[in-house]
Amino acid sequence: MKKTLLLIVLGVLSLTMWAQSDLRTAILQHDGDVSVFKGATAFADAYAIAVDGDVITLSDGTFTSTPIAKSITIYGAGFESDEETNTAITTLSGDLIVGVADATLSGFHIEGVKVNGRLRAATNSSNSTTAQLQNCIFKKCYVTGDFTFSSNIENVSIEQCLLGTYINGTNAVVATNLMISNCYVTRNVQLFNTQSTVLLDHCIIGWNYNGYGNKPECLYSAFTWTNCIQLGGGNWSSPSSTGYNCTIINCAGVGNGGTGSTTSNCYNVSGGEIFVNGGAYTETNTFELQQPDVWVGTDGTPIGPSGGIGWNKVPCMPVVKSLQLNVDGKTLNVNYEADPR
Amino acid sequence: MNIIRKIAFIAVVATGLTATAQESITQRECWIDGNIAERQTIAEASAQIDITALLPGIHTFVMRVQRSDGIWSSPVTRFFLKLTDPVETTITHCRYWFDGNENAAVVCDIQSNRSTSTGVVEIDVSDLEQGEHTLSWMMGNSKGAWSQEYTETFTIELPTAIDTVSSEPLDSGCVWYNLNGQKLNGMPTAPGIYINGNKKVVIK
Repeated sequence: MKKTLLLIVLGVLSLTMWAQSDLRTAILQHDGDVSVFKGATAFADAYAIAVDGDVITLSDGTFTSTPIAKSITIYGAGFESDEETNTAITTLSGDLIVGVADATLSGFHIEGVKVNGRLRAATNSSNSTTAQLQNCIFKKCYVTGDFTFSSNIENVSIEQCLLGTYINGTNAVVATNLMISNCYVTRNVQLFNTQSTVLLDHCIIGWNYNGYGNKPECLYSAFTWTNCIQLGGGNWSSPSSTGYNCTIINCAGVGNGGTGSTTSNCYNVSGGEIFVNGGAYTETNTFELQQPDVWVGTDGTPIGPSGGIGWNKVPCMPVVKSLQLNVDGKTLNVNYEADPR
Repeated sequence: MNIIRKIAFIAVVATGLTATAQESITQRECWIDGNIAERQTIAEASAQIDITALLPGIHTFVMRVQRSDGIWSSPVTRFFLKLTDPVETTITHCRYWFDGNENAAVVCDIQSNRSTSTGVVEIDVSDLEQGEHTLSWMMGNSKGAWSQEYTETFTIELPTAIDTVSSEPLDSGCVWYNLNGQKLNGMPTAPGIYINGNKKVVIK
């Protein structure tokens, strides 16, 4: 009997290890129809048959990335693991390319995903002024590489995201209403055409852009910074060029606004000194301010990611917090707990 | 873009898909072994799923929940093991041999087929000579397992004298023996003294 029981346990363990990869699931919701895909390519498989308006929900695990050219919604389990909030990690392995050259992708939404690579909008052909992305939302995502727009964009929102390097365009890219809110940008935001309207609100902007010293660098473009914190200690824009016309309001971080820029109600305090637990990114850092009543933003909340809509990495979808199964003869007893969030 | 428009833009975009405090879980679905076409709705925080139709072995169970605004959760997968249905064990065979000669063991199918066997097995000893013998046997069950070996000693005695002669009708159903204890093929025709059933019989 003992020998038989041991064999069963070993069998379950080996099957569990084999089947770990099969826990990766992508569910494609097309109106009332549901399709399930499993394994590393589940996301790509689901995307292949998705149409505009569909929703793809990913389990935790690592999925092969695939270029996105459809107006769909993608939900993942999160970009960091947190038992307290029942958040797990959904990773897209490889660069994520969004959009199609010389066409407009409108209404795309991605939330709760770690992109283990670069996130890039597709590139239009030269001289094309087509808005590559329009009305798109990137929310509660972690992009380990750069987040680059190679063509014009319109009404794009980047919220509560962790950017491992920088967000940038080119001096030819017109970003109309690019909204970056409550994000942690490890390096900087840079390089959009002077006709762009880029608003950064309640963000942390890092520094150490190679060879350029300590600055967030609103190069070539008229950024508006509200309620942000700069960690680097340099100017808000490169002093070596003209026409920046940045507007910097209720921000912290020493340095001036750069050529043509205006500052208002800013706090002359080093960005790295105002946090309770420092300004470096860690999974547990909530970026609370030592003096939240002093370093206040335009909306009356503390500056930085802890103010405004807050630094919240938990995806908006409901979650199954716990699930226990017990086999009793011919009956499977299921006990679970769910949170609507 | 002036400050007021900027702030309004922030408010509209940032609150686009934020769940309100009034949202609740409105639907719960589960399916087994990837068979989403036959997914079931779970009504409460616990459920009993009939798995009679499942073969014994390891299976996957996937569950997700939907909020009142229509958004589904990420699917959660668990494994479970269904064991083989228990089967009643019965005694089905016996195996016996005489005088230690296991090579000549006989396996017989017991008609009792009961979970506890207290039945009777008739064993033909007509080929054995008069005297003391041993009977060894083992019982087998429906799972193919055999019991330990049991051995008993018994004696075959044949009548040496005729005490009485019965005038009662002959029992043709009983086996006939001669006085040497040898089994005969039916009722003898040659005159002599024979054993029939438990009687001594004289045939003239």
